[in-house]
Amino acid sequence: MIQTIYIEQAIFDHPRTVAIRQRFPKASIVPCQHYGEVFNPKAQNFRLQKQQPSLILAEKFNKFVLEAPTSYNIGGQRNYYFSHMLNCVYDCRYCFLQGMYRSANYILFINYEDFDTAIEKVATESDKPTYFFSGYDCDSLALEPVTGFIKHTLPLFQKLDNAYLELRTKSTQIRSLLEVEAMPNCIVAFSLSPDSLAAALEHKAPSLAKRLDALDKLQIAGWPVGLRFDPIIYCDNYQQLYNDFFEQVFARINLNQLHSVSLGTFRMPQGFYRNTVKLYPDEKLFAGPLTESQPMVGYEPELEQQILAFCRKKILQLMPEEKLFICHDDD
Amino acid sequence: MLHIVTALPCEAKPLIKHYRLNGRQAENGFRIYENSAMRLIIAGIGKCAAAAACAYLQGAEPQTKHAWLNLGIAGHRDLNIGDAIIANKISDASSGASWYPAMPFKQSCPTIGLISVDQPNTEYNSNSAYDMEAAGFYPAAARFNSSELIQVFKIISDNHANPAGQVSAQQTEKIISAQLGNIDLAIKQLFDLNAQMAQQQTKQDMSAFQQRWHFTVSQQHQLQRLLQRWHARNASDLDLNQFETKKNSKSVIASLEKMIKNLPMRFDDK
Repeated sequence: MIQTIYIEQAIFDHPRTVAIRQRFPKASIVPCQHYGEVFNPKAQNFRLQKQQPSLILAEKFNKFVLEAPTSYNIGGQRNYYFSHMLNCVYDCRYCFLQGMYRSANYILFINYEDFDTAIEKVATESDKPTYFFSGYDCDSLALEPVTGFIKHTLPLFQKLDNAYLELRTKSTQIRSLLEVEAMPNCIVAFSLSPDSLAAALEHKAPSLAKRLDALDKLQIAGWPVGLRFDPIIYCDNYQQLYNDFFEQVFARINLNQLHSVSLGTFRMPQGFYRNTVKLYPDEKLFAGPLTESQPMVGYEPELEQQILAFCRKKILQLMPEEKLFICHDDD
Repeated sequence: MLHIVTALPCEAKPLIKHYRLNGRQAENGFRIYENSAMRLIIAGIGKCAAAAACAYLQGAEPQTKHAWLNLGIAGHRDLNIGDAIIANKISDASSGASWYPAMPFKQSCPTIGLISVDQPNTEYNSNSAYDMEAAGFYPAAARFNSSELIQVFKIISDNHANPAGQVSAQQTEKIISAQLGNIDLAIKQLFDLNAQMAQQQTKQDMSAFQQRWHFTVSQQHQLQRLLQRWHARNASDLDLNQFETKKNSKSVIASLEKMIKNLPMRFDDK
């Protein structure tokens, strides 16, 4: 439950601000000039704030759509991402957000129409298909009942023939999708991990079973779905664990509805990794066989290759190769 | 340790009594009242005094991160005398600067904005509370710890109907004493957060290693992290005898790295 909402003065009376305030009638409302006053100060502790994050309502002025790293793709050549929200309701220990931001508060940029304009501009400046990823700096769906962003954005993609939208999520908040007709150019991609790893590392996130149920409902409704096995986490029994896990997941998948699968091992930019270790020095994940070298921290190269090769082989027993994409950070 | 800054003796008295704080012998600067868990300074009125008190308290134990509480009276246009508030935004009326204490806990009383003024304010122009210290206290304390550990707790002493000039020391003591329950709750939350923060900073005890081998500063960092990794993967303490054949710190580190590599790595064993 949100207890404090910081609101930039300039958008205090914006209809979305008003609607969100009405949703949290007991929340303390704190006006501010710019979200950075609350979000950016140095003297903040992400781990403490994560216990009860506040919501910051703000207006974004530029960089609505950014180019995605080249290795992050699901078959397209033109890949972009956008973030209508910063920070996530879940608390996954492997997530780079905890090392990137000082504050765990959620920022919601409420000028959705400016995102629309930027997306449309990028999508129409080339004849090639353009992919837009929405789940980089937040979970695409977890706060949808509050933000209504996806409900707002889907009609835009309905009219953009050559644009694809990936909603990346661990959430079961799929009502806004089930209420409308499935769209072939909107891929709902679920991040999935074996149960024991999800329990140990994906705090506050729905269980694997619940995510699979949500995925099932979406594919029955005709939505293209994606599977994101990223990050794969090393442990002594990873082969058995992931072998059983992949079989469990693919037993629920209709391959005709499956848009793409991506695969990557745990890795994090070195600076973010160091910040995160300071917050969680006793976390087992960070005590594993990792190697710290600029610009990324990840598993020792030989181990990483072994893990990827094992997972790739197993997954390809269960689905066609052309839909599998491996995520590296070599670039 | 919790560090409390008040402006006036009548604001401090109920706390000194309730928490059984003992006054140190007079020192050059401020007198510190303390028990084993908290220290308090009666700073005097104004932002500068509050900031100076923060620096003085931190100086009492400079290596440690402490929780901070500014406690005192404030005015508000229409809140009742005796109501307690926690500041969710602190503004300096003279400079226009603002600060936002983070609140990752359920607050023990309502939170509102607080404006620090240089002269007592009887206009109560906004819906914020008015004091004379928080804008000095907060940025000074924020030099020493994270914003979640710095809170400002005020009790309303004056409003439009009962302006600031009428507030007596006796009445101040009375309204603060009446809020000791909420003050106690706020203090418990700060202690709890401070304990969590300390957990993040817990340093593994390297002294046994350092007594036997010489570690450079860089090696001390390495050893610290290796010990953290050891404990993350293994609940048992390290037996120093395992290293008795090691002649220098370099071989101790190499050996510890190897031992960690051989530890089980599972996530389903909790």
